[in-house]
Amino acid sequence: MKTKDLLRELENMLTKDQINTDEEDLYDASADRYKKYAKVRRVLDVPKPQAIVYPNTAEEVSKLLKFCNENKINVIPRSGKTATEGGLENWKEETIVIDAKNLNKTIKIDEYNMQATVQAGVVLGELEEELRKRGYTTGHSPQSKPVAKMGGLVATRSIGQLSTLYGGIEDMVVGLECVFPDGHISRIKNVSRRAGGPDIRHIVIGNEGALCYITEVTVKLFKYFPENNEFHGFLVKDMDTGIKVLREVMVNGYRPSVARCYSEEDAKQHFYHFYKDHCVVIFMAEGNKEIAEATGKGIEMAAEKFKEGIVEKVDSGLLEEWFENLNWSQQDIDDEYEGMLENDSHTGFTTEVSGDWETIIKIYHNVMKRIKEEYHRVEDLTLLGGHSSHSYINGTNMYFVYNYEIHCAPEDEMRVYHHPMQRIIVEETLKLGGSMCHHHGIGKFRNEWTKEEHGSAYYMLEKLKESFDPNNIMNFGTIYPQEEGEKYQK
Amino acid sequence: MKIICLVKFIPDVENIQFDKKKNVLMRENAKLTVNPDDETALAAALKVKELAPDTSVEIVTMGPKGVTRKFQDLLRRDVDKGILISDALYVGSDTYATSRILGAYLKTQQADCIFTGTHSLDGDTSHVPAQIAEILGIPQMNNVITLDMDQLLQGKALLQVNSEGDTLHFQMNLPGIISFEKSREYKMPYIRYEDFQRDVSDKIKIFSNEDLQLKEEEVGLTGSLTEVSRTFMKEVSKKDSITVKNDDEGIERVYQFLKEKGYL
Repeated sequence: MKTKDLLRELENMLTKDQINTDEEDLYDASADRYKKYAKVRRVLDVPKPQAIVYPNTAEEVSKLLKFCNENKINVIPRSGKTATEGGLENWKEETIVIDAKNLNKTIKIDEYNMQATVQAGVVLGELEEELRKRGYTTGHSPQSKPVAKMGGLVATRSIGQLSTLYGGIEDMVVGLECVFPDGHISRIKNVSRRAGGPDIRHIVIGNEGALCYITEVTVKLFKYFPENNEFHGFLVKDMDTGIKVLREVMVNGYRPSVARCYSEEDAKQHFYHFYKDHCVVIFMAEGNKEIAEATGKGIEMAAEKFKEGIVEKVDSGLLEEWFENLNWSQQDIDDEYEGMLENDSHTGFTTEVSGDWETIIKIYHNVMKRIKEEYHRVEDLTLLGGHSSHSYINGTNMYFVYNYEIHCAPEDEMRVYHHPMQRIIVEETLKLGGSMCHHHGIGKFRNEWTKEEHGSAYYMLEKLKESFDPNNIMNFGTIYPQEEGEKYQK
Repeated sequence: MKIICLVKFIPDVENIQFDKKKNVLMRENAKLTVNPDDETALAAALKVKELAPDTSVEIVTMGPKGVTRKFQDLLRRDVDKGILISDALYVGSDTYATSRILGAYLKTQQADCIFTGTHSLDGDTSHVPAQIAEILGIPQMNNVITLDMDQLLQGKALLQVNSEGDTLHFQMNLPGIISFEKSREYKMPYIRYEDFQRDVSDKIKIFSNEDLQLKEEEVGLTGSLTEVSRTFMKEVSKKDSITVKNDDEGIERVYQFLKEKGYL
């Protein structure tokens, strides 16, 4: 549909101030942080969406989706803009972005039943601030907290820095409301638990806008006891020891909110003032006093068990200070963009994977070896390392990080630098049975491995798409591989 | 027009590692990078070529054969030819002997212009460009910020030169040596994706003393007029860290610290 005709149709459904056709905003909406460097340098190779719309209600979302479905117009659901894997990148000429900016109401904070209901466009940081005033927390604390919005967090199966205690967003969502391409609005009710068939929340959580549009979510609340926080840290001789310490804590039933192990290289960028060329393991114990103290003791016992590999203990004051400055704000994002305009480099490319305890360390070593031996621009790397930052009873994640000087044209950056390393990481992870995407989602740039990631269970994922989005209008190219989109990937 | 660019590869001082226990730089792990002033010179030469595509740009460097990979990256940016001057006899050459070696090569060439950097980050003497000019008997100018490209293509070098903060304008006869200082005025073109793994080995020619025919006593340590009597590493000692709060007192303390150290 031509843009002129599309806008006329949109004006029949929405008021003029709910439709944005500002060229700069459309350019911004054509890609997310995945192509941040090319975006800043104004060399994006993807089409701009035709419009960004801001519905005020679930009913308006329903009308919009129904219209797009009937006219086969691609829809990119957006709530927040911190996607890192191309989930918000546009691959279709005929596209609208449905942004949750106006779905910004906190509907209910229910302290007795320990749950809060908010619309999709509520900023997590703002909700958290309100809750903390009342002595509560969502327990969800991704680095993007000051700018990320609730709908986007649920849609991408987000995880926070305190996940080892509170879980990922999938453990926090009680119920939700979402809208499907045919206009149907589904409400999943808020109950403590049920056995009413499969847990249909999980069709929505993590759908990355490829199946439906989330308009409202209800999440659990937890009591907030910052005064009881304990910080524990150790310099360790290698990653193997660090991962063993993490495992020891977890398998003994302790649930620190933070449990992390950094390679020397990665530790250098975070803890340059105390890492002393060693790997670093850090923990935060929180909760009510007795639990925080018991968790702290469990951490010390685990370190004692592996004392052969412990170099020294870290001053807890240094860790506390580090935690206080961990989140990035809109100002940080703006500063980062300024930096990318000035310099042929940027920081912060990552690929995050997961595996069981036995496997994760093998993945780590295999990846390091292969990148150092095979990657053709290895001399441009200014950092290659990794850390584990989210642990479970049966395993943990590995966050590979790599910074590099950029010697190619901005539009070639991903193909020259990120993709070859990402490929090695994903191949090594899948080969050993791990998951290629621990918490950033598949987006559009890991979709070539979606089938391999899910194996025979891909059948289920495929059927969901066929059932809920038969016209393939929802976030074209996200999660599900599309031949037409390959030109933007390779 | 033929432009020859003299380029030096130096240790990447920003990413050099330091052995805190032994108090020494870990030179064996140091990456090599193009001297920033020389990079500006090459970027300017490639700008000339962009404006006048029939311009030939040749880069000349002296060093071990290990620099070849970095050298190839330069050649992937529309440089026509690369000359690597490398010979065990040349090891230990001071700036005078180095100028003599480079001069011997340049005497065999007919360049309209020689571009190079003013300073090198590792040596920082600025001797080499002026000494080569002396050997070749041509003019030379340091601290060039910009040159008028159109005029250059008409055989005239109009130069803007940084003279301790003032900008001076000069006209220089060609052939001559134009020594740039690092600037954002000229930016190296990027290597395109298609060219990243392109084989450019056929563009490289290695020159040894067999080609240049210098006497042994003219090069290396014996041919050098100067010698390094001693090098020493600045002692690094661990300082106690001070943590301040994000309040007026903390800000004042940081401000005073930066002022005392000359950053403000």
